[in-house]
Amino acid sequence: MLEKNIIFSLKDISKKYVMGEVTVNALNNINIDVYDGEFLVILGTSGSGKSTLLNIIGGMDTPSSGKIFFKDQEISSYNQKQLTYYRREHIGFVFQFYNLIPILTAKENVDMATEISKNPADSLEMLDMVGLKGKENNFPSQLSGGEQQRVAVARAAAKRPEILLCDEPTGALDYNTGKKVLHFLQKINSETKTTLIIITHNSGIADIANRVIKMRDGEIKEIICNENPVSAEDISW
Amino acid sequence: MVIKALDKKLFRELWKTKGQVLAVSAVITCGIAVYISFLSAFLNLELTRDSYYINYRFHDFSISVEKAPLNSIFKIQSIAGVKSALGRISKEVTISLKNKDSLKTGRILSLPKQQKSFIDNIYLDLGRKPYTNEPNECLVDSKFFESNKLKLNDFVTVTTNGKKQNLKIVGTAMSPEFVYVIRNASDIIPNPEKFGIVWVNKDWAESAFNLKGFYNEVLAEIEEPDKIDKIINSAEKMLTSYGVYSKIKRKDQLSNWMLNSEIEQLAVSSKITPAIFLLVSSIILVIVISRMVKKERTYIGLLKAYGYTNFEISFHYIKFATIIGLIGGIFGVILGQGLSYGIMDLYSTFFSFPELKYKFYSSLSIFGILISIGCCLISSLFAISSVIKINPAEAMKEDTSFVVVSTPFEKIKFFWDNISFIDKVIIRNIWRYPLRSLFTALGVMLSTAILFLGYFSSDSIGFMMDYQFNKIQKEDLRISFYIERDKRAFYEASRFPYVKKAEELLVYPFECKNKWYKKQVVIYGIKTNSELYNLIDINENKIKIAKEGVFLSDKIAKELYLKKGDRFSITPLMGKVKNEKEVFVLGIVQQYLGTGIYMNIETLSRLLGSTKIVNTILLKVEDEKYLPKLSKFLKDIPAISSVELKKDSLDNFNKNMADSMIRVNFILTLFAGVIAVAVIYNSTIINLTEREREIASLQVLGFNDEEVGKIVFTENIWLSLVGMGLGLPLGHYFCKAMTIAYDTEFFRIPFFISTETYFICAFVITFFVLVTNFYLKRKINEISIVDVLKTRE
Repeated sequence: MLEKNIIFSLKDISKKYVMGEVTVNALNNINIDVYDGEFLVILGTSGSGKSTLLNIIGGMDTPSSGKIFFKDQEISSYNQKQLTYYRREHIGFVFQFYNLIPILTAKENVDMATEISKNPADSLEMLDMVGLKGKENNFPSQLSGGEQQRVAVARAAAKRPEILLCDEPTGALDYNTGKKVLHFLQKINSETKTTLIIITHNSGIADIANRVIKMRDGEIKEIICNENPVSAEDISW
Repeated sequence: MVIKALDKKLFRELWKTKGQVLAVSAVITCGIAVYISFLSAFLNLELTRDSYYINYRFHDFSISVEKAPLNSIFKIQSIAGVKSALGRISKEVTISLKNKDSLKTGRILSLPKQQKSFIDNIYLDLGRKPYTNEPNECLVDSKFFESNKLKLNDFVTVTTNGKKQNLKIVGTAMSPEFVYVIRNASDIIPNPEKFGIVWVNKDWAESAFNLKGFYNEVLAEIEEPDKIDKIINSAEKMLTSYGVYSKIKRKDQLSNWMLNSEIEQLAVSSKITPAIFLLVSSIILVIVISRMVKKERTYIGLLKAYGYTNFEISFHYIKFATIIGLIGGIFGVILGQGLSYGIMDLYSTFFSFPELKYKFYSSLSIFGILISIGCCLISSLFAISSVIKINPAEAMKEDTSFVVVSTPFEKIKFFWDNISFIDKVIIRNIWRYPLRSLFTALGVMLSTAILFLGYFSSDSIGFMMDYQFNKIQKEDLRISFYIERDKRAFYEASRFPYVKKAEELLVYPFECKNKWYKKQVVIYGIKTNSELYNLIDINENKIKIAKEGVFLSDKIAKELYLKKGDRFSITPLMGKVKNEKEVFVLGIVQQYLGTGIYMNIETLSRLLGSTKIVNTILLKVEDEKYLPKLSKFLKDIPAISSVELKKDSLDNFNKNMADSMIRVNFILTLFAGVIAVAVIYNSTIINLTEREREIASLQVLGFNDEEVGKIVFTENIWLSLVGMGLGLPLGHYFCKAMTIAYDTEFFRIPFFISTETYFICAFVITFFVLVTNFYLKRKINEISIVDVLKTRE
């Protein structure tokens, strides 16, 4: 099972947004340790603060207070440039909307990520891994939504990131296609031991994770450890 | 080499937006082409001039005198700072050619004896130099030779001192003092068929003009150009007793002045015109790239999320701009080199050079490309400043920067309630993107102004010619005599065949002085009730010459600081009587060609110590068809020193000037078109892509292409109308600036714009706008409703 090495930890993280006279507490005193190689699902309704949390973990947003550690580095003290390199070297992203660049082919979209990585995977192998062999020269417009999201998964994984962050990766997909994408994400997690964090509002997904963190109103309400995660094929929602 | 994914995106992006890329590049190409062609023509012309002037020893100053003994040259040579001096005989004569009816005018110049190199040395084009022991041999200038289809060993007949003499042409030549061969400033453009230079042996000239042992013009080279005024004054003082007619510094020498003003104009145009084009292209690029950055906001966010640095992302857009700059620059250089040949070719028809130096300036080409790339680079820096601000987490979400603002027009309830839905969309859209709308209007404005300037040149020069030759000069031809004659000459002239009316005129050089302002001018003695010399004031009212007092042309009034009622003194530059007289200013006359002072002919004669004398006669013929016959008749009268047909001047002008005017207007129209089309095309394409969803939605609702097109194109037409409306006054302003820039001694450009110019400009610009719109209609049909509506905004 898991070696409990902490790869990432959040200490007393709060995030406030000031909008005119109203202050919104997006995150309130969050403490989490993320273990190396684990599959973590952050579950919450919209407005629960899960996206903010993901952005902070991904180095795209900074907390109002609290400390963040990646391995032994305190990234909460990083400036923008350091954060850019942190993302570049350690983080992979998959978004709800696939955000493929329309005038680049599937392979070229993956290349885009490998070209800035120190130790990238082979783009074609990655596409093969997500079941897109033979479609590497298709443009996004020639791919279905599910296929596009698989390209996005391949792209994120091709960097060989230490943490792969997925923001509602199935949100724009139908049931079966969504399951397929989850299957590949799970495959990447188990085969490459990449730490995988998925945020979703879909509680049906929770069963495939090692751990599930439930959030509401910017706070962690519950952390569930799942000793026997099920395969993506076996879940339903 | 592996092409990076981002670079692949770049090339595909370039290809996808090729229309826009092409439009911007075309504007840059025009700018760089003008820069390269004008500047290399400028450099080459300057190079040609300088090497010609040095190798053929163009004089630094000349002084013409009535008659000075040859030994006085040594005194001039001894003036400190004078490198060398040459005395020669220079006289205007009439020339007649066998088988040609009309009388021509020529300038006879004596060649120094046995001197290999001399001041204003000649370049032998054809044949050989006259042998010194063959007195009747001569050289003529190459253009006169060509345009009169002469052959070597043909004869020219010149009239000197009432005697006809034949000179055999043994060669053709050019000289640095006649690069631009015109008889006097009022000719403006050379007419080599009617005026030529004839170089003769010194001995022949001395005997022909009764100047044995004398010269009437001194040419000098000096050592220090800054001391010219001092030197020329000492020389003048030395020659005073021999009757100094005029002293001319190199910079005021007619041919040199004309050449230099052309060179200067090239230098100025080579900077201003490209600047306009590059400014326009830069603004288009800023808009295009800003729009691109905005459209690709999510991808930029994504790239940032993946760890691409700001620099890496910005560089992508910088490369996009740089490539456009490179394309525009390269085409500009190629086109510019081609054009510069064309310009030099055009110059070779107006200017006489032994050889046009044509140097290829590779540094200029490189610099042109660098300028082009530099401009695009700077534009892209403006446009991508927003890249840095994009927050990846924010960019992934929906773009919320889109805010619908209500326009002030909506408050005018009556107006707003009564316009169609489509009009509301148009007004809101213009309001929503004020900068882009403004830019479209500004582009059309500039394009209109450029076009306007082109047509204005034709208008004003046409007006100037009409003013001079139809309003002021009412005669058909004017004849001049070698020496002043009494009134009998006038009576004789009025009895010439086919003459309807003759009028006497006395033209005499004077020095005018108002306090410390001095100027050499020509005074015209005119009959009080002159019908053939029609002086008019600024309001085009006829002026009547009074017995006393003078009228000044506006340029002289300005230079001598004189106004109506002022008094100033005049001294004749020739003749026996050289007393200073005081005269007063009766008024100012408007004159665009040349300058002059006008007074009563009898009063002028008295100033010169005579009763009425004349040296010029104006003739009006019964019918223009008799002009050739009258010219033929005049050919045989030895007392006549020149015959000028007004028709010749006008014809020559129309032939030469009209042609180059058409060329210039064609090019300016092309330029205006490129700007107008590029600006409208780009704005519309951006407009279309920005509103794809809006348009697709309208199409879903059942609007047809025509109706959808109306939204986009009506907007263009409105903005173009605003642009045109602003362009005409701007053009006006440009024209005004041009009239100020061309306030020269020899001619002034009148501020005159014909009604047609307004119509032509409006028509041409409308044409460009409509053509662009028509072409862009295709783009609407290309929008796929399904594709657009299925994608996420």
